[in-house]
Amino acid sequence: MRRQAAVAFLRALGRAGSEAPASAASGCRVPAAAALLSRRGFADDAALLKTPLYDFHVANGAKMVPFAGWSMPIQYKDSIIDSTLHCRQHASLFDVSHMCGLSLKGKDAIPFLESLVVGDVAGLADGTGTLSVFTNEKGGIIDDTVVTKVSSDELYIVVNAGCRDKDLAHIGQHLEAFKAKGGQVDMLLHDDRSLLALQGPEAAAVLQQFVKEDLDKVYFSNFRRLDIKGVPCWLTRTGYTGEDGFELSIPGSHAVELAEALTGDARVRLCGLGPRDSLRLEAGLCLYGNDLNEDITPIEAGLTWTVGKRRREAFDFLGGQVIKQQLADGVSIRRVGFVSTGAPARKDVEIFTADGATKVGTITSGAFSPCLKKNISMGYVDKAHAKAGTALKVNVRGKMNDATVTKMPFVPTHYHKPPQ
Amino acid sequence: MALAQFAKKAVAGLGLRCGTPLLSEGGSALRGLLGSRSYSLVPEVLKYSEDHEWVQVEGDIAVVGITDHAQAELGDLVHVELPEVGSSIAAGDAFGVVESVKAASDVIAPVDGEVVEINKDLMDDASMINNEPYGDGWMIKVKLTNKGQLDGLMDAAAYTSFCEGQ
Repeated sequence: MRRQAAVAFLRALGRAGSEAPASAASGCRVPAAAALLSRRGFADDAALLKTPLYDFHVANGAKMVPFAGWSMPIQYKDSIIDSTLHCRQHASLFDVSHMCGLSLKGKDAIPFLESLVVGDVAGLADGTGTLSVFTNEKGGIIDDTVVTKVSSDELYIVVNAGCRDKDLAHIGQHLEAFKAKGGQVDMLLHDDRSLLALQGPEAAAVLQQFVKEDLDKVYFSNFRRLDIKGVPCWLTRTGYTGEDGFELSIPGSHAVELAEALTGDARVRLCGLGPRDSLRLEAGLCLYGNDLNEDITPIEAGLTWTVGKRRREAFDFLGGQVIKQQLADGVSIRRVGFVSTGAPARKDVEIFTADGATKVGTITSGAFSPCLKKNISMGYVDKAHAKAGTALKVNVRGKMNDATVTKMPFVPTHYHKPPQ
Repeated sequence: MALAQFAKKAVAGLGLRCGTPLLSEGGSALRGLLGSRSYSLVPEVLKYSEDHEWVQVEGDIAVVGITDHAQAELGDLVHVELPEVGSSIAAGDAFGVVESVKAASDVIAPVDGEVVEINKDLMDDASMINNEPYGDGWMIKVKLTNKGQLDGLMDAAAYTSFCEGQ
């Protein structure tokens, strides 16, 4: 029993860590003993995938947990609080190689992808990217993704590890139909590459030591193919922390070499999925499986901005008519942020009106904020209660704690944007 | 406080690392030891449960907290819930909750008894459990109703082996 509880605990921890679809409640409690099993391997450890950096993580004191089919570092020697603060103040290196990188190539790559996502991909300048979402026929979100327009016939896409299988099946199925009608586009998976994220206010200064190009001219969402320490890499100035930083796609065979070079700078510390979750929550960024799912539309999720202006003329993507309707009529629920008292309000905690009488929503992500030193969370509430400043209650283990609807991001973002 | 002094004495003399050699220095302050250690302390004079709670018996009263090993594995604690003074607890049942940045965990009672005092300071600063799990991080004091249960708890050596086996 204790052992099962431990597994549940660790899975909850892993789930909280990043992008996996979450089905079980991480709000449930298990004995403190549960955490202790993390030292010991699971029977199915052998089945877990390992990134090229696995041995590097272990050698650097990582606590490895199963996550979306991968063995990933949840944290290193630093506590989650210290690690979160370090990224906000200096620079942190994350192995996010479990995420799935792919390219669409061919003269019809853009029209093909635009049939599946809400964004104006054609309207992106070459060498820039954006957050977008894949939608289903109901307008629900299949996955969130960063789409980069390398050029008019090449798109670079990163999707969540936990959604990889369904995303590839979804894209593959539509690709087949598209090509059958004469469309020219091919999909390439980048499983031979590793993905590192270097994030934080000192990330650019650290990386600049290893690249010739002036990174000051590479702005938020920009994409470049360049050499890092002589290794041909793909750089996107983006991330999942709210800080300035980069995601670096590297040939897998050079991942350890570059991770060692970057962490060789005293400003850089390794950061696991645990602090990564704190960072993204503080930045108000969604975790697929918690805050986004196939029954939630981008309008409800507060991601209306991802629906490109040009796309609002034809709504020619999956679920476009549902989204058109929602833009015209409004939606009944909205994703909002909360600051709450008492114990942290975590996933699946119910939200009530201030008098505690009526349930008006549910928390989808929540934790203690290392930067703000208070409980922050996000969740969906009836639209009537979505205005910032609204006083509500959250029911945490039978206690009705005060919760105030709060604008996100909770912690201001610091992206490297071009001068206005 | 008495417990903190007790813990300092116990740790300075006999602190164990789960798995590896004893602390060499005598007389170091508990805070200092815990601040820089990368191993777990298991004071000899305490009793331990399989749920990683420790018990210190003073007559009919048992002081209860979670072990250094437990706090290290749980990570930064940010919130604690404790029972009311006067309430009864039963061995094997949850009597409180500790929450780290990432998750909430039950704290399981190692003995039966009536809660006679709780460490209210933890409400303001849960990190005291991380910093001094055997000292200022104590959680509750219980008037024992079944002293025989103490025989079912582990001593330091047995708990150390238990941790290694997990």
